[in-house]
Order: sequence, then structure tokens, then C-alpha cells
Amino acid sequence: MARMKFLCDAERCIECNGCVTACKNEHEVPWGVNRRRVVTINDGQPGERSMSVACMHCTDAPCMAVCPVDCFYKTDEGVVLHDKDLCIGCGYCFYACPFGAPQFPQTGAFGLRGKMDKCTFCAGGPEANGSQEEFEKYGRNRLSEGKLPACAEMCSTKALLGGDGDVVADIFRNRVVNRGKGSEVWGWSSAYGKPEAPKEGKS
Amino acid sequence: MKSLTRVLGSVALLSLGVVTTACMKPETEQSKKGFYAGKPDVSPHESAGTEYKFGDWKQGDKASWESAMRSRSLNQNEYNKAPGKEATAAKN
Repeated sequence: MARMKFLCDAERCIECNGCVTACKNEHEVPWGVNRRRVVTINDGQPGERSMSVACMHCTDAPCMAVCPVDCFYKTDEGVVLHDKDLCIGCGYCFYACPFGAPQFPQTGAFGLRGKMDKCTFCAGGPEANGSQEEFEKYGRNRLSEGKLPACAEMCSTKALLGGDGDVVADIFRNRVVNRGKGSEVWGWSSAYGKPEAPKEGKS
Repeated sequence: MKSLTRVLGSVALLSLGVVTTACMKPETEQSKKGFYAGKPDVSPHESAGTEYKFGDWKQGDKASWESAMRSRSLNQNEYNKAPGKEATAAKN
């Protein structure tokens, strides 16, 4: 199996935030922490694009490189996870991450930072799979249940794909070949078809 | 004398290159196992099995788990679910 990857199709994302909601609900993520979010570029203008962003589970993850306590590890499936018992909440990973994936819950007054929380690709963490401890620290472990991440499976337009990198790339390639690319895939005619020519005899 | 100096100079440069190359770390070293200082984790296919387990893969069998995950990943391709343009055109 190749590495587990997310792929967001910007032509399909409709900024519904279903992925964000699915993630929040699945893992009971605390208030103020967003493991996933939707970013929109050129909002309100023709050709605007939205994209769902979370931890990209980088091959050479910068968060792993800068962590002073070495609490990050990578699974055989290519998922970047961390040990919350070891994390000191320093925030270096947040500065290193180009996607802003690491999140820090406020645990007290004056903005006191808690231990880092981020997308786990629904793979839990270093606790017994499916245990209550794992759920409370890292959320559900859907991979150990034979399922894909909740955000990708919940996506209504299938803009967000998740799973084996090779499979996801094949799906996206097939999609692009079928629909074409460029400006012609955006707009009214793409969504609803081209308007029919008015028939003769009808006013 | 000049040729000897050139030879010695090239040998010195070569040895310097070898030394600096030996000191460099490979870029992917950070991703390797061994740098992690936390608790060990268990692979998903080795899970104790929860009541929410999906699919007919067997616990501890990595190949069957990968096969189940692959088939689930392929379900994301809606072109496999809906008939293609050719099939629709043939029907009409």
C-alpha cells in the first residue's frame, strides 16, 4: 500500500464545511480547535476556489523536524501522528507547518496553551486501538475499523478524497479526463448545462 | 613543480568533498523511525476489533486490511457508480 493521502478537488468544493463538521463531530474536538477548515480564494468573484485544508501528512514533515521532544512519528501507512503525553505545547510545530495544521486548545486563563492537536487521518494515536483513552486524546480510530477519514467519506460532492495515494490519484486523474480542465469547468453551464436554444413558435 | 602542485590541490579538494559529503545528513532522515521518543503505537490492522469494524478483513492480516481499505477508497469514484456518457448515449 502506498501512503495515505488527502486530495481536495478545488473545482468541486462548494465550501459547505461538511468536512469540518464531520471531523468535529467524529472526534468531539473541543471548542476553538479546528483540525480541518475550508479556505476560499477570491471569495465572491467569478472563478473563486475553495479548498479543504488539514494536516497533509507530509513525507518529510517539518513538524517532526522541529519538535524539541521528538513526540512525532510516522506510521507504516504514512500518517504523521504524535504522542500527547510527550508534547509540551511549545508551538514550534505550528510555526513550521505551512498549512497551519497544529492546533492548541486554551486550557486556562490568559491564553494558556494546551497540548497540540491535529488531524490524525482518523488513525488515533499511541494508545490501544479503539480504547477510551485513545478517543479522549486523539479521537476515533477509523482506520482500525476498516474505514476512511470521516471528512472524506462525508464530502457531498466528493471534492475531498482520502485513502491510498495511488487510488486517490487514479480517481482524480479519471475525473479530470472526463470533465476537462481550465475555466470551462466553472460556472453555470458546467453546473446546469448549456441553455437550450428557444424553439420556434414559442414566445 | 606546477603539475605536482595541481595534483596535490586536486587531491585536497577531492578529500574535502568526501569529508563534507560524509558529514551531510540525508533529507529524509527525519522521517525514519528511531527519532520518536514517545509510546509505541499499534498498526490499524492489528486492532483488537471494535463493534464498529467494517468489512470482512481479519485482525492481524495486513493484506486483507489493505484490500478492504482499497475497495473502500475506490467507492469514492462516482464514475464507477453512475453510467458513463457512452452507456447513456447507447441507451437513448
